[in-house]
Amino acid sequence: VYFPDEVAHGVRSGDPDAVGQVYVHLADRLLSYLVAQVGDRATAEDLLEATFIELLRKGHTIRGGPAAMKVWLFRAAHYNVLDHVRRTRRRCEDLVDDIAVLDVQDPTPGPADRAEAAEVVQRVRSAMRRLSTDQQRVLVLRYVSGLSAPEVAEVLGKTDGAVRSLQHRGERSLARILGDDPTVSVPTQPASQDHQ
Amino acid sequence: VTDPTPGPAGNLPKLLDDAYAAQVDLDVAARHLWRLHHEAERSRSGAAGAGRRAHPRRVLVAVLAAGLLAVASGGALAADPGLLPGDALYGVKRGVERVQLLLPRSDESEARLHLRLAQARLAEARRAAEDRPEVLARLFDEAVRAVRHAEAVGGPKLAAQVAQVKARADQDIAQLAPQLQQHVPRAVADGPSAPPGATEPVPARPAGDGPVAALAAPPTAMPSPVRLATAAPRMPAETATATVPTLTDPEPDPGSETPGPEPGVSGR
Repeated sequence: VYFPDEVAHGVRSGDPDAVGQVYVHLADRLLSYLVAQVGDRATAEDLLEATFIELLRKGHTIRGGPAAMKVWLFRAAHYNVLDHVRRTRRRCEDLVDDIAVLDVQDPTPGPADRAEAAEVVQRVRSAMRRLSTDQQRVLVLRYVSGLSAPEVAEVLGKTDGAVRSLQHRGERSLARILGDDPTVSVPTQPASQDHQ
Repeated sequence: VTDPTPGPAGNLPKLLDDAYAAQVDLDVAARHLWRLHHEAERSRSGAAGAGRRAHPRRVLVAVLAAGLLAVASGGALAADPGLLPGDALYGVKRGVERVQLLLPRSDESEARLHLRLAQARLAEARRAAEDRPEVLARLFDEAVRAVRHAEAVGGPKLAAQVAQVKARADQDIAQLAPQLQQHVPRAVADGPSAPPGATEPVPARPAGDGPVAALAAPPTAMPSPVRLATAAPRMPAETATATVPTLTDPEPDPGSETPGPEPGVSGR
């Protein structure tokens, strides 16, 4: 739980200050997911804004407390990503089939400010792009946004079992790809654990 | 598929976090939060105006808001001295500021933000001096609070900037002393009618050399507007006239009470 029940109540009644409180608690996690999905920070920020505007307008439809509201937000962000990809793909389908090739990668360095760490970040991102889209989504939602497996299942509209399977396979593939990279230290056989 | 050799997941979570964790920039957050307040305002005015012609003022606000959104980030809005207490968008501006205060991620950034807010209040006071002198005491009070907070959390690294803002506050209070004193007595006179819980005694005049010498006091001793007003007599002799005895009297009437800070200081 990231914010109290009173804040969730305020969101349901359309209070922008309450939505602002939710923003303060969850914007970073949502932005991380959005940047990972669309690859472009400016676009991700626009989608983040759109997601919270949706929360302001439709918050009264959310049943449940802060936990349900968090899942609702990630789900709204996920659908905004899908819409964005669909629109972008439509615009570019004559030029390129794979939208991932066209997407601009986030030019801002990650938390690592040393060149070596920045290189590792690029290698991890590169390795992630070799996974399936669903595997990427599950891993980012689990390890970067901090959602539980059942929450990820709700966000993506999948079963718990499907999410756990995607997570496990994604971890194995990622570890194998990175394990072949001498500059990145990861175990070649990571265990899929429930990262609650 | 289950892993036959379960064990630690290694540093995969950390690698992923390093690769993708992002933080929302303050200006971006301010823009988003301002947009939220604007949307809420628009929604409310839309509901209120449904079925009848929109009030011209509402239209003006919408146009102004759209213009601001187009040309200014939320950060710029938060720093816009053109919006004063009583303006339609002032509440939005202060709402953005309030949430900004929740966002800083280090003491230094928090101190810098408070300094920026103090400068914003001082800029507003300068603009409000002619048309709305009645808001001066509140604005100076909030500026003092913000500087004190910046001083408390900023440490020696920001001492120079804090001193600079203090000096500016000194200068502004000295310059606007006539307008300030002209309106504060009314608040004092209204004191006895204020709710008992909102009253506080006028403090004895603290020692100090400058108009905002009260800034040197511990940050826990936050001034009320009246406390700030009591600092006025410590202004340079040529500006600190004796035209407001209630404020200049270091020994307040023991039976008198003065109102606490006005409600709605936060802009809502």
